Amino acid sequence: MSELAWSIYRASGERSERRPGFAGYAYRELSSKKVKDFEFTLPVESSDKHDQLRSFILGIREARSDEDAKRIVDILLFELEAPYSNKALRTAATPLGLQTALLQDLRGITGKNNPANLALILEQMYALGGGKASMASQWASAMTEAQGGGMPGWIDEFYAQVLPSNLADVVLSIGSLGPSHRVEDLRTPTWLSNLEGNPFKWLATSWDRLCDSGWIDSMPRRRWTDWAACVARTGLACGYMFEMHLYRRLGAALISDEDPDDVVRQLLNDGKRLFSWDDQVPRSAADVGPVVTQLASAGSACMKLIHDLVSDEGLDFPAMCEFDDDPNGLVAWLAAARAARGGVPDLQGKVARALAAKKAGPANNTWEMIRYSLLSRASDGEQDLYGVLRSAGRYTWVEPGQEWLVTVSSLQAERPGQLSRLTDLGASLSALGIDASQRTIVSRLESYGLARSSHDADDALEIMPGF
Amino acid sequence: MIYPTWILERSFGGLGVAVSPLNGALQSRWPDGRSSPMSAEACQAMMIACSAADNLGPAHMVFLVGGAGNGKSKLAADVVACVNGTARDEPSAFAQRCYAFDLPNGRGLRVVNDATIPPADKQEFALQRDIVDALEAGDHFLGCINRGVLIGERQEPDSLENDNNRVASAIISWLLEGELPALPTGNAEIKTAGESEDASENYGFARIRIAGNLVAVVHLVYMDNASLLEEWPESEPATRTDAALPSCQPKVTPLLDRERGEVESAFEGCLSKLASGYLNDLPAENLDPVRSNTLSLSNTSVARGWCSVMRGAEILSGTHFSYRELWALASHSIIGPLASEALGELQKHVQLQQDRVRNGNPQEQVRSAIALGNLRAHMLLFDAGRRKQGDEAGDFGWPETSSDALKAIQFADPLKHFGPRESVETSFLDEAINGLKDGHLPGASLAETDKLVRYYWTPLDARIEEIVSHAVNATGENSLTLKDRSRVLSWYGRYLYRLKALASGWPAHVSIVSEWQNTWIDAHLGRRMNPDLEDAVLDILAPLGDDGRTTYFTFLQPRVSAGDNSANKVRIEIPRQDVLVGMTTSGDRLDLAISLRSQSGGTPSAFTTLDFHLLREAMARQGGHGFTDSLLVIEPRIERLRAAMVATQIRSAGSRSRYGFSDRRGLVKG
Repeated sequence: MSELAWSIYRASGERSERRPGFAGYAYRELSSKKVKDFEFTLPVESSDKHDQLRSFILGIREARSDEDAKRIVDILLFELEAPYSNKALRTAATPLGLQTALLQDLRGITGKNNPANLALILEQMYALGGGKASMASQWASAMTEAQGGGMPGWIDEFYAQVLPSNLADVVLSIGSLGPSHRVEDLRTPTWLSNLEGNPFKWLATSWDRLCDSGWIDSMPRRRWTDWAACVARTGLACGYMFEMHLYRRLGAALISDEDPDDVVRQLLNDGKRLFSWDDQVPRSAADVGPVVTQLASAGSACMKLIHDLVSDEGLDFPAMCEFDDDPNGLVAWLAAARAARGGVPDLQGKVARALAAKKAGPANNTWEMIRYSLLSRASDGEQDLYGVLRSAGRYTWVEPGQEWLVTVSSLQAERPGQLSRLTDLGASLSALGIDASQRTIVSRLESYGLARSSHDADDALEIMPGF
Repeated sequence: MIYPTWILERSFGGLGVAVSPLNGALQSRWPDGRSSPMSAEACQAMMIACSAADNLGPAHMVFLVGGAGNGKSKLAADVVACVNGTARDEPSAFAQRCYAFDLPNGRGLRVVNDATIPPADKQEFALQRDIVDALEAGDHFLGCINRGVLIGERQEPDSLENDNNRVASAIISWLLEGELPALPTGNAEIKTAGESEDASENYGFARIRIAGNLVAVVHLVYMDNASLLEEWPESEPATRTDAALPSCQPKVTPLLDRERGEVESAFEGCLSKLASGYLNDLPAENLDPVRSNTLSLSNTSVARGWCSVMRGAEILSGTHFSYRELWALASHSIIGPLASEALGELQKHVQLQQDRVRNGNPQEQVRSAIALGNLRAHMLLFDAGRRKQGDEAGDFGWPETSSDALKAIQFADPLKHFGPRESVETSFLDEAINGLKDGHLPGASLAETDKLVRYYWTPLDARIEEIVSHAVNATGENSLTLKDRSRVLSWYGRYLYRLKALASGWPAHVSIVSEWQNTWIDAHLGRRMNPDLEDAVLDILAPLGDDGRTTYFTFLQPRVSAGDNSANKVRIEIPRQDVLVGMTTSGDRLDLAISLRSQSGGTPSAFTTLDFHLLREAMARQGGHGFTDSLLVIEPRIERLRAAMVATQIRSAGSRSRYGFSDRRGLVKG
């Protein structure tokens, strides 16, 4: 969300003057070694900012003495800090509002000079899913239009003041440009928009619902922020998996003679069950670690192979984007690619090597991205309630955190308070590539108190929304 | 002798469980149960309308809403059998979504038998289209509908253009939510009428007018709102079919009420008739457990007790038993979870055990007596078909059987929690069973003093008790090892406990079940919750903090909790006196609606179902000693309720809220 917020500002084209060597914003410093020139946004004691916050607390009479005010300021600043891992060097603030989202940026958090453009990746996925506007604008509108929004007004004001004064113009420009912010020139292939149930569509629908339909007012803001992060990280990872799956299978299909229609139908079907989830299956059998590794390595290698073929001008190999307007684009591309394959020397060998590729280079990043987004991140003995995978020892298996299932199943309903059905949940899960056993989902829903009396048995089981 | 196989037709997974409108004549061996309150009446109205001499009156629409196995298709079959219609399509061997008939008076009748079957063209809003088609043609319409279909068909009437479409979508929302949405102004109008507007949860009636003309009347019946294990009073006969029918309310009688023994629950007659029907097909053999089961269950009082235990299971697990499930449970109680030819095996097993009981040595006798005892209804119900823990030698090898209904029954096993006042009943029975060692016969003497036990008690039970008593008292070379002796005693203890509980109608936690029923009645009558119980529920939802006076919750954490005071936290106060707990019933479900006084009207901030676990936890707190293992079950729900309350408080109380702050040094004065 921080990146989404910053992306609006970056798009405005304004650049504030930065001192040379500036490495990014982060909330608090954890290591004592000074490596780069980060700016930490947590107001330190006895700074002007801290004094300003203290007077604010005294001014609204939440505290009676200066001593109490100081403690309250510290408590609120402490509560703002997002959970971090043992290895972290810098922390981030929980992006509860426009201002708090700006208390860090991706450079500050990762320490990299050129981190991946996460906001753009998300926006691309959201656009692929046919989202209404842009993820950033939807989020910014939710923030500005919330009615109370699960956040006491004075705390909102307090946190707004935490932001360093030199970023005030950033907030202003986000406030004015945010709701109309659009990302141009994103690909939206027709064949994908026609495809029922894919992770991009899930991401776009869930995000639009979360931001526009009163959810923000029906739960504490912190919970809403967690849900938003959950939707983003799930959509991101599952989107990647889907893409890798697509490339891997198309790569393999280049050298086969199976009917392109069948290939595509089969691959889309298989895309609905990349992972299987059944609590009854022992961990060794439910291990999805190899699936992720294989998708990332073979998928990236096939993607690279196809890109190389396309960019080799001597080959006249068709690019996928040429078929974006074709409702049956994938099939058409495959047929065209096969027609061009005669000119490719040793295609057989190239494909075989790509499919057997080891995890290296870009595949590592993809692998990392998928695992990092889906794996449950436990910190300080606190469970990650929004993870999808858990791992211990050699095995990684599907075991979503409690709130993950609550989030996914609640966002099937358009508004808070609306019921949905088990069939819908099954459809959402398979859109994300998760093939879940009905028994498992039902018993989970029951234990979280979301399933409502099941007399209209089977798929018609009613699911209550979380709020 | 041969066990007749017809009893398996309706066992779990049996073949005779589904009905289609064209196979009207049903298996004759099975007694007919009563239809859900108002459903037969609504179908009667439909039959009268179908056989009207002319086709001038309004079209009749009857919607039977509910899950599978509640008798919707059976009623539809009855209507079809009676109206003398001609099918428009060729009959098919497969169940179809829709059947259309031409009636003698020139009108049509459409029957949607199973709305879950998609139409041939896979159209999305298929039910809506079915209704529109009937409205356009002026046909009568009978729909058997389960709720899942309705959720998928919900649409805002405003978004539709055509009058009939709007009416159809309004009907669908009505079926789903129990309230008719307002139609946008236009030609079409649909209005509820009669006492059904608020009085009855099972039945609704509405009139549809297009351009002021009455075109159709709608009878809506919820098939699964009333428990089959409670009393269904007879309704008054209807005087006209195009007006709301006189409604009749099912009555709920708490299990521990004195009248419970005197009221007839809807399924009771089915069970006793089934048992006596099967009994007639069995040869007289005193040591046959299957025959003993039919003998016991054909007694009305025993059937009543059985129904009470099933009712308990229903409430404890928050499910609804349909006819289909109850028939299966009934046959399970008589013959166990058998699916097919295994009846012959069971027969052989029984004969072998009988033979050993008669002629075996004392050890064999006692083993076989136990094996026969395990086939008695009160043992079969809770044990048969369960995954085996250890291998009980000599037991019949039941196929492993699992279903939600069976799980619910096993959850209600009286061995878990026995009798209305557990300690009293337990010590009484324990003492009686102890008497075995002194040569007393506790079961037989219980049967003399307790008439419910007497109705259940059969010669087989008496024989088993004699053998057991003999075995535990035998000395010399025939005596059992100490270990075997205690095993036999403990088995007999289980046997007698369950026997007494089934005969008396005591499921596990019978006092909680009874309290739930009382609370349901209060809610149904629109009364306030019993104040002690309300306090206990509040105690779970909004526990008082360390100072014993106020309730504060964290809200900047991933979880909303009361939290401890030694961490850096900010909390918001939810004033306990501002939390209002309302109750609503929806069929057999009891919902709590939580709202805050600061809310200006509107919908409550959160809903939850008052189920066994929540009630049990609350009742434990009522007694002041708190915490049962149910707390774990309800924790996630409670957390969400608190989060919703916090969101409401933030939204509606604004700057009036109080906050509390704490850090490692403790509370900060806010």
